[in-house]
Amino acid sequence: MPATNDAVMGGGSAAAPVKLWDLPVRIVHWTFVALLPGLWWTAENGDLDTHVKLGMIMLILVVFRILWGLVGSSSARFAKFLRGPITVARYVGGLFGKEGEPIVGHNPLGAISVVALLLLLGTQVILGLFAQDTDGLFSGPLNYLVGYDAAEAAREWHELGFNVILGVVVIHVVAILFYLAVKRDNLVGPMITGRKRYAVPVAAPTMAPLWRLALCLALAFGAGWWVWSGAPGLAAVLPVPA
Amino acid sequence: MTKPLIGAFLAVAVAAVAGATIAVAATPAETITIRQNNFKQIGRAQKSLSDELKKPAPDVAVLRASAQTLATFAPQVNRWFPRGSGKETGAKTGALPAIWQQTPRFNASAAQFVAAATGLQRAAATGDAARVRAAFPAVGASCKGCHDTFKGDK
Repeated sequence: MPATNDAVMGGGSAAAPVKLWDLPVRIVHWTFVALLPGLWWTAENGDLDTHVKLGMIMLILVVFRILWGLVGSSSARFAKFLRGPITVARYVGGLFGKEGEPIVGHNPLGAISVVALLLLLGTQVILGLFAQDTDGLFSGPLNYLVGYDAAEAAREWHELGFNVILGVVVIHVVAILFYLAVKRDNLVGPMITGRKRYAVPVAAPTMAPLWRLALCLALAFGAGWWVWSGAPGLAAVLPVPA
Repeated sequence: MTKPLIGAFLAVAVAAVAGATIAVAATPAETITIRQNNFKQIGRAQKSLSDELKKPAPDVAVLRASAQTLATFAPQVNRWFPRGSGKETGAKTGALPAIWQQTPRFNASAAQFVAAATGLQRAAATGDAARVRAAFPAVGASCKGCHDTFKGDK
């Protein structure tokens, strides 16, 4: 832990916690955690009314997180944490070796996890929008835009999609446990408090101003409202007519 | 000369039809395939009603045609499940053993579908979309009522 390194560095300021994750990143992350079991439970028990509503919250969150990854705080931005395959390979190769420079934000491997989960959740939501249940009682808000066969296919992919997400979540959690047990690096704490202590002085991420948060929220809720209203205008550009 | 010929044709034709019918009844796999295709027809009709009723001004002709499909299929449903056409065939089917263990209850569920589909057909016959809209939820409820007990995962 930092203590030994502190002695080496001799810097008192190094131990001061750095604001790493902003509130939007943390809220979105933990809402995902809460939503997934809820979505699974409601689907499994046939409460599709609630399932569709929770799915709409998921949609708004995914849209928001993608926007936030483009214009949000620096530690939330894709461009800041996504690395090329060579950097990822080098990072993986060095995982068991000596500590390198501290990474402020997602490490190159964690970055893949973030993007993979976000893409999967987004795909899953889109499939759900077009899907229908076997009783014809419940359907996603965009189900009416596609034919019966496409809607049935969407449901089957939606069912498969959950298992894929579950698999990636398991990998995600195992990786976090690995960092905790082997690397002695607690990743969960900072995702809750937003703060992390570093052994050496680091440059703190730049937090995005409130107006950007307001803009992203407005766009995300707007997207949610548009989809909930049946995505007016979308029918014209869909490849398959209903 | 011609009479025996016609007779022979008839005999072949009858044998062909009979053969086809027997073949259909013979393999459980085919029974399951036909059953699933029929349920897909029901699903299509159900979806077309659902989609049409979402529009501000539903096309009554579409409602009528789909309601007719449901009313035609509904009375047949419980006959699509001869004993031995469940999971024991090894085919991919969601038909649960409860269908054959609780036959009276299964028939009662099927009868609810008949009642709901008949109600829908009557509503569609009036040409009043509002009546169809009012009669429609009972159909979905009858689907669910039966599926909850008698339909599992494939």
